[in-house]
Order: sequence, then structure tokens, then C-alpha cells
Amino acid sequence: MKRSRQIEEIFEECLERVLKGEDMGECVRRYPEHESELRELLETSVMAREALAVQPSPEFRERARQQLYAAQRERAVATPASRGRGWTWQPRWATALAAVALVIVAGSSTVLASVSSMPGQALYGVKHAAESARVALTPSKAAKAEIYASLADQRVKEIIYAADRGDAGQVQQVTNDLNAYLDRIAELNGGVAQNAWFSPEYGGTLGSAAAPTVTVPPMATPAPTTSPSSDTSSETAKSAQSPPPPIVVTIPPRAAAAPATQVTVIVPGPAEEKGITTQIPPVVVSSPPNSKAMLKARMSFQAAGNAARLKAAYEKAPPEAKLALLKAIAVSQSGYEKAIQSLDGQW
Amino acid sequence: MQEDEGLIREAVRGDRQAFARLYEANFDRIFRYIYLKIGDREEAEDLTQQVFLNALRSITSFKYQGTPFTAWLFRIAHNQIVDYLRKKTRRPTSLEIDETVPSNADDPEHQAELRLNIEELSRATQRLTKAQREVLSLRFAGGLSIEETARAMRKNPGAIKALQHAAVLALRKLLVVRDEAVKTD
Repeated sequence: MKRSRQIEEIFEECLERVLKGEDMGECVRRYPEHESELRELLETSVMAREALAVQPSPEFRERARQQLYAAQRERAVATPASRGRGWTWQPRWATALAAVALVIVAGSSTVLASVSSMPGQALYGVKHAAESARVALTPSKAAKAEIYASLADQRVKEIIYAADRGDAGQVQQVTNDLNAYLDRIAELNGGVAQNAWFSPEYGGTLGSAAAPTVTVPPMATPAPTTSPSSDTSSETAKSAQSPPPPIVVTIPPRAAAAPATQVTVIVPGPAEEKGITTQIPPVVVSSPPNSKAMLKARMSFQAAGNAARLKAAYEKAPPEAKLALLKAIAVSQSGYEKAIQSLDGQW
Repeated sequence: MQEDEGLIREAVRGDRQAFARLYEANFDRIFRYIYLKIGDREEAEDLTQQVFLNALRSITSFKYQGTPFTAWLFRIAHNQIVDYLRKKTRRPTSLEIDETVPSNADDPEHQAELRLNIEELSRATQRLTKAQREVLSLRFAGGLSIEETARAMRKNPGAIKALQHAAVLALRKLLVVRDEAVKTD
């Protein structure tokens, strides 16, 4: 019995050392009377640990994360009576149905009131539930992608709001939402793997010369009449503007010999809030009559604008939010690139 | 792993960010623990998510005194697995011989070939006693210390060391038996 107790202790000691990276032989040699048994036990343990060096798939990890956040949001707005009911792992459609039910229960006035809510505010969960319901009730891929593009824009605004308040956690959480929405746009189009710009004929890399180019002519608009440095974040600084010049988006061709497509986007009077666009400007695409091309043009415009806004927010963000904001900038850039690059061809 | 008591208290008070951080810190090891115990990746993924949704539902009733958070979380996972197996009425009955795990364990030339994947390991551990299997799952898949394992299994650390030793010894014998079977084919 005593001998048995000894080997158990010795095995645990050597196991801890080996798992921390110490050479197996080093520990085994300290106990020559147990050398053979110890070596076998440690080899088996290492083999088991190696077999267990598995990770959840990235797709599952992201899906699970989004489901958890959705559950957290729904719990935050649930009535006390409904809190006792168990959450279960559900497919996406079931979550959407739950969101629809929540919107009905919450009532339209609450939902309307939640539209302008921000992370951390009471109605923010209602806003998310209403958004989920909107997506769930939208049947077509094209319309879903339009909604996701709008939601992505909204999330950027919320990231800036949270960063301004120094709330790194909220920045990170909303960044995850932003990433998920931009991913969904790419998924709706079958993912980036199908994208022509990833093929060797276009250089095979993101951000290559074949990426869409956005030409924004200098804005010949009068200076804002309200100072942008005025304080409260809810205060708006509006300016009278002359109609802005059109923005030209050049979309590279699918085949090397084909001509590039030019889409002209006319942006009427952007509403600005402390330099942050609060509404996605309506766009008019002159040609071609292709909803994907329109969305692509709109998202290219959004991507450029949001990148500039996030960068500006970084400059003035409190130190505790800077790291999270840097990640948000990276996620936004790569997410928009991926989404935009997936928008090729027809729905 | 040292537990962040402040973070856990925040999560118990309903702080979403705190719970999200606990989720991120424990997600992989709960997944590995479940994967080892049921041997099926897809089922393990579903159960992993269910564990955290159950934890989210129950977190406000968690009391820090007495039970560490990790022990509490792994108990939820354990109960989830028990429910799952009961519903599936799946009881593994034999260790299947897998020819991809070869060789004489004492022969250094064959050591490099001695490989085990998680499904094979899962099947092998089904031949151990329940307590032995639980110790291996918590220690090797969950990454819990001897003390944390002892709290999760409501035993003392000495008993856990004894179980761990017995479990690895039994696992070794099972693998050698399998190796012998492969050699005689």
C-alpha cells in the first residue's frame, strides 16, 4: 500500500513537470527504482494529451458565440417570469422565431423606441431582437444582404459610441456582431471561396489590384454651420449642403479581357452626427441594373467611410478602449473586404 | 488555472461581459472534455453549447463559497453528458481494434508510430471504471489540476492521485492488448 502511494505521488510530480515541458527522462532518472513503470505511465499520458489536442472548428466557435450573445441579449430583456425557462441549443431559424415572438410581445412602440438605443442601454436587447426578426422575415438573399449591410453600418456607429465611453468590453462584443454580419453577407453569396478575385487570374490575394476602387471627388460643400467640437454625443451637427458630386466605383472584370464595370453612385444629402453618418445614405445606381453591383457599390462606400470614422474615433478614444478599437478596425477592414469581394455576379 | 474571483462575481451579478470572458476561457476545455467522453465531434459541439446556455441560465444562483467555478461548470457538463447518454441509451461495449495504432510499446523503433486519436482514446476510456474515466477526462481533457479535479469529483486529492495512476495504468494495458491483437493478425 505504501509503495503504491509513493508511485502515485511520484507519477503526479513527473506528470506535472512533463506537461510543463520538462524532459521525461530527467524526472524518470530521479526515481531509478520506478524508472520502467514511470516511463510507461508518462508515455501513455503524453500520448493521451496529444490525442486531446483538438480544437472546436472556427465555424462552430463563431456560431456558438453568436448564439450565446443572442441568449444573453434576450435574457437581458426577458420578463422575470420567463427567466426560469431553459435555453436550449437551437438552429438559427428557431432563434429567429423567438425573436419575432419577442418583438410581438414587446410591442411596436417599444421596438420603435429601441431603434436609437446604444450598447448598455435598456432597450438595446429589444433593438437586437427586432433586427433578428427583420432578417428572419426577409425571404430573399438579396434583401437579407441589404439588411446585414445596414446592420453592419449601425454596429460601427455603436462601436464608436462604446469606444468613446471607454467601454472596451462593449467595443469587443459589438465588433463580434459586426464581424458576424459581414460574414453573413459573404455566406449568402456562397462565401469568398467562390469569389473570382481569389482565383490566380486575379492575383489570388485579398486587396490585390483587382479590388474595387472608389473614387470620391473633393466635396465642394460649405463648412458646417455648427461647430463639430460641441460636446454631448447625442447632439447633432447638421450642415446645409449643395448636392454632392457622384461617387464612381470601378468594379474589376471577372475575365481579364472583359471591360471593368463602372457604377455611379449618387449620394443625396448625407445626415451627419458629430462627423458620424447615422443613416446609410440612399444610393441610386445608374448602371447596370444589378442588385449585387448596387450593394457592392454601397458597401464600398460604407467601408471607406467607416474606416475613416473608426480611425478618427481611435485618435480620441480613451486609452482603455484603444486596443479593442484597433481590433474593431482590423475586423471591419477584413470583413468589408470579404463581403464586398463576395458580391459579384447575380443573386 | 487560477480562477478570477472578481470576474466570477461580476458574472453572477449578471454582467454579460464577465460571463462572456468566462465562456471564452473555458470553451475549448469543456469541448475537449465532452468530446473525449462521447467520442463524437458534432454531438460534442452541440452539448458544449448547451452546457454554456445552461450555465448562463444558472449563473445567478452560483455561490462562490465551497465550489470553484470550474468544478461547477464541469459538473454541468457531466450532467449534460449523463442526460445525453441516457437519451441515446448508448452504452459502449467493446474496445474496437484500430490498426492505425500499432507496435510494441517497449520498442523504441515503434514509439514514433504509437499514435492515438481522440476517438480511439474515447473508446479506450470507455473500458475504464467510471471514476477512472472521469479523472482522465477532467485532468487531461479539461486541464484541471489535482485540487480542482478533487473538488469537481468531491473526493480528496490523494484519492484523485490514486485514481489517476490506476487510470493511466489501465489505459496503458488496454493499448498494449490492442497492440498485441494487431501483431497477431
